[in-house]
Amino acid sequence: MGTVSGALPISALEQGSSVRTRVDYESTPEGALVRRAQAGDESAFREIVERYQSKVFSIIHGIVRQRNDVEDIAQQVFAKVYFSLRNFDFRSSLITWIYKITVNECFDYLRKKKVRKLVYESDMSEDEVRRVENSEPIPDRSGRADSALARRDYIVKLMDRVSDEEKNLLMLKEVEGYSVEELAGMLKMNENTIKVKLFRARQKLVKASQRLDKAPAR
Amino acid sequence: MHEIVTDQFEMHLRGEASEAFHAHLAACRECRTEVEEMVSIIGLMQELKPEPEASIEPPLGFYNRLTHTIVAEQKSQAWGFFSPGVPFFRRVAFASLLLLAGLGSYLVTRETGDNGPDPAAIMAQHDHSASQPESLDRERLLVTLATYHE
Repeated sequence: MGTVSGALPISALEQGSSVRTRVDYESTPEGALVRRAQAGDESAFREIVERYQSKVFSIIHGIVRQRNDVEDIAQQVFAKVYFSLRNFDFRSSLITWIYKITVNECFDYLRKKKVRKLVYESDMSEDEVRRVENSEPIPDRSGRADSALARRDYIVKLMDRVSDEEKNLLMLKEVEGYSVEELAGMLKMNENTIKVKLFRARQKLVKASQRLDKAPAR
Repeated sequence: MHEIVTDQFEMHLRGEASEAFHAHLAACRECRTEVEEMVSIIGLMQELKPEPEASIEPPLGFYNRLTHTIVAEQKSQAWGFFSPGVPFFRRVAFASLLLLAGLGSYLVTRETGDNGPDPAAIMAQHDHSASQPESLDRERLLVTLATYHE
């Protein structure tokens, strides 16, 4: 069961039922909360933030692994939620929508950080570059960090080669552990569509990986 | 990639793929390699999973800082209305270029389409033999002066 599931209003998912009933999300209590926030009720927005902040922090930390930056990214996520909430159309649950924003924000952050690092390094000598590369990122626990860090960097690079939709789908499936049936219910899509999209996204990752392996190491 | 693989890959991940699927993988090297690579990448994705023991809780005052961020962004958006950014000026430049191109093409088509006055007509205007006698002009001038004095 995926870690987002606790917040999902689809009780059928929690029961592991094979019959997926598509819940009219708008008529759930959370739907009413969203409606209040959309109408400008600040206490409703605060409730949304308080309800999902732990989950958002956890997703961000899972992807970026930089404790110092987690709060900044979370602020950007909720600011985006605040400004885009009016356009939220109840096609998915609120947490699915927030999850998508969070994942996009994390990969944006990693991309910008990479660009900043390249610009910064271009002004440094080789020795300085080596020193900086050895000093960052600071792992949370220094033990088994090296290979895990390399694997993480690698998968982050691969994920950067797929679209936002594919990224979101892959994250929900492979990281959060949702089944195809659950994803179909959450995203209001046909199961076969989900299967095909997932398969294409994985194929893209394989191709990106082949290209990355062929490219000379920096 | 063969159809049996695309159809049953999800089942394969759950360990429920048919014997035909496994037989196909054993026989088809291309499919086997791609499936192995996909499974390996799916394994790599587990690195993005949040570690429960290293979980990070929102710090105190997070909501207050968030409201400051939102207010600051609202202000910058309001200023943005009065100081349009690069995309705005890019659009203006593009529109100006389009306008110039439109005007240019209009002028060119006008010059080529409109051949101007007929040369024969211009010659006729300057043709003194075709003009009225000089005495008639003089008389008309005198009549005009007389009516003016009156």
